[in-house]
Amino acid sequence: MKRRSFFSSRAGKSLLFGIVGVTVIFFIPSIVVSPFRTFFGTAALPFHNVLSFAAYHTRSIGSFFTSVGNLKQNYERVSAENLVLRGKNAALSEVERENEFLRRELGVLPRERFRLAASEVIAIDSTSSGTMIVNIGEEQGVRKGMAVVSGPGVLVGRIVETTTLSSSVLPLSNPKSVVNAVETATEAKGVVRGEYGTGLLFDMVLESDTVREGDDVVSSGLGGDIPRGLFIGNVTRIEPSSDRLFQKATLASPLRYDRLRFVFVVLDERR
Amino acid sequence: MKPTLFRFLFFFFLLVAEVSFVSPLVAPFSIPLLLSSLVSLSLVRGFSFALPWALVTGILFDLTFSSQLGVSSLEYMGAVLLFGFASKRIALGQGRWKLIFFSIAVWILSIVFRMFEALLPFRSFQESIFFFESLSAGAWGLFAGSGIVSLLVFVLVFLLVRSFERYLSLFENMPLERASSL
Repeated sequence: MKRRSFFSSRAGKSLLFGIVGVTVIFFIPSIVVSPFRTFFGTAALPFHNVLSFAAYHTRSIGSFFTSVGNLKQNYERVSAENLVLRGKNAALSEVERENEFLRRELGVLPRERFRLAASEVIAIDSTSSGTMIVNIGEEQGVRKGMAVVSGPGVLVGRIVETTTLSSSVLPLSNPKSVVNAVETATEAKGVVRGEYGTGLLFDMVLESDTVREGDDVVSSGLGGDIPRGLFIGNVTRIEPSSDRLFQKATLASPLRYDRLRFVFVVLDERR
Repeated sequence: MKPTLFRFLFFFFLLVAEVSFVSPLVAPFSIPLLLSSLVSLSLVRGFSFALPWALVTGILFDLTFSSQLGVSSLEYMGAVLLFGFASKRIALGQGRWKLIFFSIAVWILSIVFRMFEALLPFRSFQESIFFFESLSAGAWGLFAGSGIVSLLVFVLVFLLVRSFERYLSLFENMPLERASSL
């Protein structure tokens, strides 16, 4: 009796189909994929919108119940922070007055720094890259490489892909993300990279530069579309690298990238 | 045709549910909903049946997140093959123990896939080294935390997929063989 080969069986045919399919897909150029991505993104958008809306509301109800126990502690912490902030506010008011005076003297008008486009996070790839999908795209003027911020100038990440009505955001916490940064107090320059888990790493800082715990790190505006001065995080721990040429520091970000709901895309910087 | 369309819609809605509902809800933990459903399909119907669905679902996932097309398909197909073969070979007595064993295996596999994505050839060796260096205590904590939720989700998804396939088998001339052994 003649024995059938593995590839003539149903299992073998499926396996062959899978191998050939994946091989072909791997080598399809992105220009061919782009229309499919736009079509699928647009078709799935209403479902993403509805389910993300449901998720955020379910989460807010859940957080309300879990936060009840922490209210007293939070109240005490916020009261203490309030005192500190009132002191800082008084000092900043003085600086603001001085700034207004200087602007008047120099004839410089006060201005909003960025032109922003508001958007909502409608999907998160939490199983691998942490990439977020936001509900604005090319139609709203979003382009690849643009910076994404949350609230008053806190950097979230950058746009890595756009379709007509949606865009993908690579958050700073992804190890693929690299942003040129500078420490505000000492002007030490380096790059901020994502760290698996939740942290950020201020890396490639020259050993001769000074980095201090607690100092702010902001984007340096070098080499890309990310403007200078967007807040990234505070230095929490400093350690020398193994080659002793550079030092690196762990940063504490004020944001939880996986908990963001509303973000803003920096369309351009007003000059 | 009808069961195929239903199955496509099922995986489409699972994809949307994973990225738009489950992920924001359980963040920072990650729940591999699609992986669990494809593994369940492989256990219920056999790997030769689940393999094309792994390919299609992977493409849909990569189209959603603008990642390299085919990476997720490769991962899902690997999982389907592995579990398809394993379910034939592994004898663990009672069905519920098998289910717990497979749910732990799915969770471990989801961690392996994260590492696989970091080590893909189109990324540099330097980046791969960085990935392992930067696997901080926080990351391991997140992996462990995700495990407990993943176990529960796998059991639920398996039961859902099995019921769904039982329903679809009414339209197809294809009885479920393995589902009864689990």
